[in-house]
Amino acid sequence: MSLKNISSWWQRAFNGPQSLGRGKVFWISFWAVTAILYLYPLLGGEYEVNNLAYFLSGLFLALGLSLIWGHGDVLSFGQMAFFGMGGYAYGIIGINLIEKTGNTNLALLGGILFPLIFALILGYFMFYGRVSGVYVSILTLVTTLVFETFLGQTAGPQWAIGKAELGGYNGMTNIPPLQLGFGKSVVLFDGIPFYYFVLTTVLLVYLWLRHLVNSKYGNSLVATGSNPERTEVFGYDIRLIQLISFAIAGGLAGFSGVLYVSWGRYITPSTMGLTTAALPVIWVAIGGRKSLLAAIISAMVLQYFTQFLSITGSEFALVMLGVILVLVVMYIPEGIIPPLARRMTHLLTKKKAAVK
Amino acid sequence: MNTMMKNETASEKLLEIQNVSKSFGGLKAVKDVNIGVTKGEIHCLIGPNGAGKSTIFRLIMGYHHPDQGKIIFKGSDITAKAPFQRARLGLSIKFQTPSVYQDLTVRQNMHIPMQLVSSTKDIDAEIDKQLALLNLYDISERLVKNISHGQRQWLEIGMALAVKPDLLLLDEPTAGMSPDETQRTAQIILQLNKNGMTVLAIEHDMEFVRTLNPKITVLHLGQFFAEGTLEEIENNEEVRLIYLGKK
Repeated sequence: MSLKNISSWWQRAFNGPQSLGRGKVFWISFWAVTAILYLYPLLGGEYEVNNLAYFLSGLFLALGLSLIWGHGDVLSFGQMAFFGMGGYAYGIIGINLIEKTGNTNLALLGGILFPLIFALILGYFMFYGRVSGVYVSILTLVTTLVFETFLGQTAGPQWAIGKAELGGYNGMTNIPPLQLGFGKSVVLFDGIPFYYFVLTTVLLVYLWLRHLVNSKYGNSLVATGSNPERTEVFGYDIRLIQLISFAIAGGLAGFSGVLYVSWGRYITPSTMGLTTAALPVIWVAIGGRKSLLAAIISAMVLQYFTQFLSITGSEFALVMLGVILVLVVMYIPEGIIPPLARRMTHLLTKKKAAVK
Repeated sequence: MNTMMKNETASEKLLEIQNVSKSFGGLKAVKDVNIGVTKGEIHCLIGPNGAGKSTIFRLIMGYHHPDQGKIIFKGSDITAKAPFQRARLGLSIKFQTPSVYQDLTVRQNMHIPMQLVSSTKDIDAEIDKQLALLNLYDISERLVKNISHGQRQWLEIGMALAVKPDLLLLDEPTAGMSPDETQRTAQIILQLNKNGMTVLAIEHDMEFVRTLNPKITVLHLGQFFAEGTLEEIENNEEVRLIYLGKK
């Protein structure tokens, strides 16, 4: 394959109407930032790398939400429920199997599959029952809160699955870190290896989703979101289209949950509380829900911002987030990043034209 | 009541609505209606407001399910089928108010139905062809929310046709159009019909109906009232009384 072939294959696979940045400048900057992120452990200290890995591991929540909400126009408050399910599933399987198998392969798989299957079941009843609009948001929020409440009352030794005690509001502790592989070649993903694992999966999932939203399926998802009645009478099964994206979003949120517990070694029901359930929605709304990359950038910036406010002793981090959200929704409903990106593209093309 | 049913064999019928009734709460919107659409014809549903025309379209597309009666399309009973399944069998509709994707460009709009029938390789050429046919080629990169009402109507007709249906339903295709645009729409429909497309339309504009010279079914208060050619309908005293006004 020649360089030209690769370039045209790349254009077809990853560019399309659903992505803002498509040109050479965009891709060069994209790979430059990626390279810096890969070199970061050489530059930053252990604390900074760990911190960045933690923030990166939450990105799957935002990516999934950008898929289902930004592209499919289904506002789901269920991402944190799937996140929690993923975390708890990983914990329960991991704690029970780690001594026998020496790895957490099955725990990782369970942490993704369990929320994915749950999302399929919940989504089936919603979308095949023709529930739409704000009712989906309400149902998913209620689901999240039901999980929080249920897990909150699981204190005491009677609430144990094998060796894993659920622990009520104190949460589940002693969750093993990610250890993938078989026999002697098991790799422990902790510290810097964990950072590389998360960074690589973010990159791969981003590229995969970018391919997906610009594919035939992506077009039909956007069409369904923007005008379901019209789309259905072309012959699209809109129930299935929405269900697929809802399940993918659920699986991705579960993966975030797995990374979260693998990083922090514990999980509590408050990860599924009212404030946390709103967090992914806030990240994605402020950055621009219709762009996967905007969701990523926004989630990263806002996580750093929240942490900065908390460290400096301010207890108003959430209030500030709320204020930003209200301002953005009122004045730039499509989010902050897409208009900025368009202006930059405009400037660049103007410059090019001037040079010519 | 005046009936002018012609004797046609069932095998010629593309679409048959058989004894269909539909109520909303206490309101009987459609009462025991029978309509047959023959392959290759232009067929218009006319009638005063509240005659049940739009309800019948919604029953045909599957947004409502009849309380009684059956809907047969291409010989198979579709009464219990979901809208997308009916569409896949060859039914397509242009809604009354243009129902397009406002935030997408004209080209992207056309892409949505087109990708169901075209291969990835040919799709751009097919879209170009379709847009040229509808006189929309020059504005193909514009966002749909920035084009005129008439252009939006044509775009939707084009999109409804892109899926290559056997029966095209048009719900007031000229609503909100200028006389000029109305005439052009009539020409588009006549051309389609010449190429073999069967069309079932709801229309109020009698001038437009005259140009199409279709078979006409008159509905009144949710019931079948009369059927025939334009001439027969216009000479029908009772129809004039309810619909065309006394003379």
